[in-house]
Parts: sequence; C-alpha cells; structure tokens
Amino acid sequence: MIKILTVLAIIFSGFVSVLFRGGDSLYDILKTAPLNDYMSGSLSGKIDRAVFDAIPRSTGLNGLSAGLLYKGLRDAGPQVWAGCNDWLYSAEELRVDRRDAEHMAARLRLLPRLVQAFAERKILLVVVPVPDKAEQVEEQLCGISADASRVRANAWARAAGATKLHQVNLRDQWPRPGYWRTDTHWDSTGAQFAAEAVAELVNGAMGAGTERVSLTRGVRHERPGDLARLAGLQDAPKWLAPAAEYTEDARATIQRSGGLLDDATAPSVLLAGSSFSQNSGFIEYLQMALAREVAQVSEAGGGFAGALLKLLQQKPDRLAGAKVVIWEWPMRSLVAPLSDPERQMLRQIEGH
Amino acid sequence: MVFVSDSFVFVFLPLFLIAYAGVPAFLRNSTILFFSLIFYGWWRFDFLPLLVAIACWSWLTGLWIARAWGSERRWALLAGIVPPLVSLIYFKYVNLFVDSMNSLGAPVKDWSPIPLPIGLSFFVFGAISYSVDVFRKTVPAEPSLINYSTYQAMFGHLVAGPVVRYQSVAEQLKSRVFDSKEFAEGLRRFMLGFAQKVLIGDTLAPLVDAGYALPSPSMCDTIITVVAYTLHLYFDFAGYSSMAIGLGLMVGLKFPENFDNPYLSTSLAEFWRRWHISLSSWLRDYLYIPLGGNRAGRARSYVNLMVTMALGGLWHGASWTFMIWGIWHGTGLVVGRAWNAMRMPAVPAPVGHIITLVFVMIGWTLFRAQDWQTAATMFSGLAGQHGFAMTNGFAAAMRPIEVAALVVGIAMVYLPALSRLSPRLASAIARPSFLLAAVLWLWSLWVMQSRTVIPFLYFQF
Repeated sequence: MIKILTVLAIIFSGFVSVLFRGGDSLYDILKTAPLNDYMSGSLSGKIDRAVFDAIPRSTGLNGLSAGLLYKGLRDAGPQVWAGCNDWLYSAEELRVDRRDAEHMAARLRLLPRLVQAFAERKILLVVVPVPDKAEQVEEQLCGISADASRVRANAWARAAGATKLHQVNLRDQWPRPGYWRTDTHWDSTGAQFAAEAVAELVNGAMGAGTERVSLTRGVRHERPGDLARLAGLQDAPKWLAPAAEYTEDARATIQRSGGLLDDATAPSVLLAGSSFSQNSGFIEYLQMALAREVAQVSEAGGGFAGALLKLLQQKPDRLAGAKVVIWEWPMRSLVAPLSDPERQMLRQIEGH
Repeated sequence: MVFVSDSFVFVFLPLFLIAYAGVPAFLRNSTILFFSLIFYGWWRFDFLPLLVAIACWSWLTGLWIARAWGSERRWALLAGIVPPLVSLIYFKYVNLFVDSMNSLGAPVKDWSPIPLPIGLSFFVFGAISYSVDVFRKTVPAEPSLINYSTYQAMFGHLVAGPVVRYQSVAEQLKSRVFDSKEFAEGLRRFMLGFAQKVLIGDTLAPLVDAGYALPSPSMCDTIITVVAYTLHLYFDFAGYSSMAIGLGLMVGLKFPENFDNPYLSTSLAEFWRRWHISLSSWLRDYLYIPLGGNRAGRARSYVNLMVTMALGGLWHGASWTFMIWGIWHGTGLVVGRAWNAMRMPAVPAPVGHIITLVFVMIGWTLFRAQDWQTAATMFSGLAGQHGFAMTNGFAAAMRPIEVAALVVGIAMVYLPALSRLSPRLASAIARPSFLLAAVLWLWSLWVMQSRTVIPFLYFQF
C-alpha cells in the first residue's frame, strides 16, 4: 500500500502544483478562449503549455544531468555538437537533410531580386556571408568533418559568381579560431576581422569616412555561450561544464560637434544582418573601420534575408538616405527552411 | 491527449482517480465515459459527435441483431457494420483516393484534405467486432448504453488500442473490483510502459528522423536507421499498450496483451502471433476467417492471407506504401506456409530468427517512408549505392545518448531469451518489480520535462 501511496503522492503533488502555480494562467486561458479554440483543439495546446510551466523544475538537477551527460558521454543535447576541448558547435551547421538542396536553390532564386531591389534604389548592397564555425574550427570537431559547410560554401560561391555581387569573402583569410568556444558566434577577433574586411570594400567604393569614432573597452567579464545554454549546461556544476569564457565589451563613441541642433545627418550605412551583427562588438568595429556611423537594423534569428526583407517590405523609409546596406547572414542559413517572408517573395517573383 | 504529458499525469489522472474513487460503484462506468470524452476532446471536441454517433448506432444495432430472426438478422448485422465502416473509409481513405486521382491526371477540384479523427480505426474495429460477436451469439447484446459506450470510449485504449473486443470486458463492465492489488499492478504496468516509450522509443525518434532525412544514406547509415526505427516503433507502441493495459487494470478492466517479445520470433507466422496481437487476431477472426480462411483449399487460403495482410497494411495508413508493406508480409507468410506444406526441412531456430528479423526490418523500412521516393532512397542506401561507411551527416546527427538507447533497446529485446538460464532471472524479466518501475517512471518524468511531447506513433493509424 505504501508503494502505491508514494506514486500517488508524486502525481497529486504535481496536481497541487498546477493548481497553485498555474491556476491563474489556466483560468485566463479558459476564460478568454473562443468557442472555436475548444472545438478545434487549439486550446489544449495552450493548456498543455501552462501545465508544463506550472510543474516545478530543479535547475540544479537539470544542470547536473546535462553536465553528467556532457562529461560522461560527450552528449550536448539535440541542438549542439560537442567537439574536443570544450568546443561546442551548432548542430545546424553539421546536419544534412534531403531538402537542403531545395532550400538553397530557392534562396539562390531570391538573390537576383534582392540585389536588383537595392540597385534600383542606387544603394550599394554589400554581401557578407559568415562562414560556418564548423568549417573554420574543423580540427576541434572530433571525429567528423565539416562536409556540409563546404557543400554550402561551394554552392554559394558558384551562385555568387553568376550574380554580380559586392561580396566580402571572410572564408579564406579567416583569423582562426575567430569564434567563441561555447557560442555559435564570432568572437571579437572574428568580428573585428569581418568589420575591417567590410570596411575595405565600402571605403574602396565610397571613399573613407570622416566621422571621428573612438573605441573603448569595458571590464573583463564572464561571457556565457549560447551553445552552452542550448545544451542545458548553464546550470551545470563548474566541474561538469565547459570552461568559462571571458570578454571585454567594445563600445564605439561618435564624436559630434555638440551644437544646439547638432549637425549629424541620419547614417548612410545600414547594417541588416543576423545575430552575428549584434555580437562581439561587430558594429562597433565596423563604425571604427568605416569612420562612419552605422544604423543597426539587424535581427537575431533573421537567418538569410530576415532583416533585409523587413527593411524592404516593412521599413522602406529607413532606406531613404541610405547609400550602403551591409547584408550579413550566416552561411548555414542557406539550407534552413524558408521563412514566410522569403516564401512570399518567391511566390511574387515566380507568380504562383 | 497523450499519456506521456504533464497534462495527463498531473491533471487528468489525479482528477479521474479522485472522481472514480469518490463515486458510488453504479456511477463508475459513467465516470470513465465522462473522462474518456474529455480525453478525446482534448484533441478536437468537434469530432466527439462522430464517436458518440458510432457508439450509439452500434449499441442500437446490437440490440436489433440480438432480437431479429431469420434474414433480418443479416440486415441488422449489415446495418451495424456498414455505417461505421463507411465513416472509416471516408475519413481515412478519401484523401488517398483524391491524391491518387490527382497523380493519375484526373484531378479532383476544390478538395480540402479531411482530417482523420484519431483512434477512429480502433473505435470502428471495436464496433464491428461487437456486431459480429452479437450476430454469432458469442456475446449477448449489451442492454446498457452507458456500459457499451464505456467499452468503446474508455480512454485507455481509445486512441491507439489495443483493439479491445467487447466479449473480453463484457463481464467486467457489469461488475468489477477496485482494489489495491489490481490498482498496484495497473500502476506498475503504466509506469513501465511510460518508461519504455520515453527512455527508449522517444530517445530514438530523432535518430530515425535524421536517417530518413539523408539525401544519400550509406549502407551503414541505413542499417542503423532501420534498426533504430525497429526499436523505436516497438518500444513506442508496446509502451503505449502497456500504459493502456495498466490504466485499465487500475479501474479493474483487463485488456488483452498486445505484444509478446515479437523480435524473438523464429518465423514470420510466429512474429504475427506476437506483434500487435489484438489486431492480428482481429484480422484473423473478422476478415481472414469470413473470407474462407483455410477451409477452401491451399491456394484459396493463400489468396485470403494476401488479401487480409494487404488490407491490414492499408489499415495502418492511407498510403499505398502501407498496402505494399502488407503485401510484403502476406508474401512472406504465404512462402512460409508453402514451405511447410511442401514438407521442406525445418529452418534452424537461429537462422529462422535472423531471416525473420531481416524480413521484418526491410518491411519497416517501407512502413516508415512517407512516400515512394523516400523508400527508394532508403533501399538504395541498404543496397550500398551511396557507399558503405557511415556518412558525416549521419555521424553528426547521432547523439551518444541515442547510441546508448540503441544498445539498451537491443539488450531488452534479447533479455527474455536469457530467462532460460535461471528461474529467478526469468521472473525478474517477465515481471519487473514495482520499485524498478517507479524508479524508471521518475527518471522518465524528469527526461520528459526537458523534451517537447513526441506524439505517439500510432495516432496516425
């Protein structure tokens, strides 16, 4: 009898927890849901979520479990590949899917239209594909190689060769490693290298900028990596987690005249990229190297053309005074499933 | 609703148990029925009227069959069988018909795909077997609509089986015990099934997906993928059946066993006696035997077997790949029978086991493929057309925890074969203790919190 009661105690403690911790949100969901949600079953998904959230979890226990899996089996969860020496990689860069070629081909059909949209506005579109971490730090992959990255990079190189592009090639001269160990993004060395490479192209086309930009560095602090977080290792005991990484944040300051109305015009350079553009001080290094102010319109998770399409379709007024748009995107996003705006544009282009 | 979810374990189950334990005995079937309707409605409430209508219709025609005489009995039987069958065909196969017409160049215009109500097949099979059994006078017609609806809709087996026949629960619907011994046994079965699904079945699911997503899988990739799917399907489905049987036992209802170590079989016929037992026996009793079974000569029995397996295959899903899978198994069964009929020498058990397992796994390769192209890619991989060594893409997709689940899964399949070594081991394997079940269940709950819910595979059937 005791064994039954023990199991029932677990089940009923979960129930009590749902009542007390999730009662309000469940009540709100039930109160506000239209009849159609009840009939079509869409309500149950919301309730499932609320119940899931109401069940208490121990972050310490989850961290311990993730840490044991990581140290014991070198398993970092479904989204992260654990390489050697605490190097973590996004599984997206390594996976192969039969629809990859289809997604890549669709994006390559989008490319000429995107280039044309900026050419018509007489804006210089600078394309900055970010090479895969897997390819640039291949020696730490441990047991596998970055074949998928090379396939993507080669396919892109062929397509870019066929379209007249102002492209920055980061892949060949990449300052290895140039990436964080436990994060998918470039580190400050990689970001600075990329910024200087972009500036060389832009300054070559437009002449050097004239604004006075100064760069300062903050205090050194620990930088939790997004891949460590995805692997659930952020709460793991230190002895089970990858070694911590440290950084000093860069900050760019543009020196203005300081007049009453100020004489600064809207930036003529726009950065429409992905989370890479928001990480490791890329925009700061870019402003420094360009000697120009750069407007940030990047989108984390924007993938291939997220920020660019948003600019074209939803915020075209931002392009009014623009002379240069820097379009940064991670190479791995070439094979990701198409986003809704990408699909929509493709339908417009192809008329179906 | 799925059993492997917080909503079921921490909300539905406690509420049900409180209600079931709290009501007087005469209201217990109504309580099961009420909760079963909520359980089903969790998926979509707008399909509930369909299930209620089938249950009511089947109950009414059952009474008619029992009271009718002469040729009227046959009409009553037809009335009991045809409408549920038509609903199954409509919801399950009309989309396939439309797709086939489209691919044959005769497109059906303005067609919106019809959603398949989950568990409809199990519901309809229950209704058909009830009508036939009443017709055959194997069971008397159920006078109580509540009792009959409870049999049909009981949430334990409602959406994914096992295929429960009315005759197996008829007495228990009238009176049954609700005691701690049966409750504990049911709880043990439920927890074991839960752990089977979460720790092995669900863990292997991403590996199978990754293997099937490869554009050019090597022989090694394909073999690992197919072995992973073989285990994934078994632990997922056997786990679900175990949970269903456990939930039934908790309220005093005894559902039939659905699996008996099928991957230890030494022949295909034996495999089908051990795999999805409730479906195999249903097909035998309500399709193969009515078609004539073995009674009309050897050649006719082979045809009957092929027809039964082909329809059984198509029952699994509205795709021609399922039918070909059924025909594949039908052919294997016919060859096996012909071999025995010709008095050919018996195949040694280990060789028979290997042949059976390879045959079954080739069948699963087709079973899992969503379309012909995927199936062709996998078979070309099996034939080594894209090389033999593991590809980089597959190696990158294979997590160490998945490899561990693969190894444990294989060990669990073969563990019962070791039970001959000692009676104590045999008993421990055949009936794992409550404590072990509870520990595995707790572990599964913990693992479940870190995953999104992976729907049960058989929902699509």
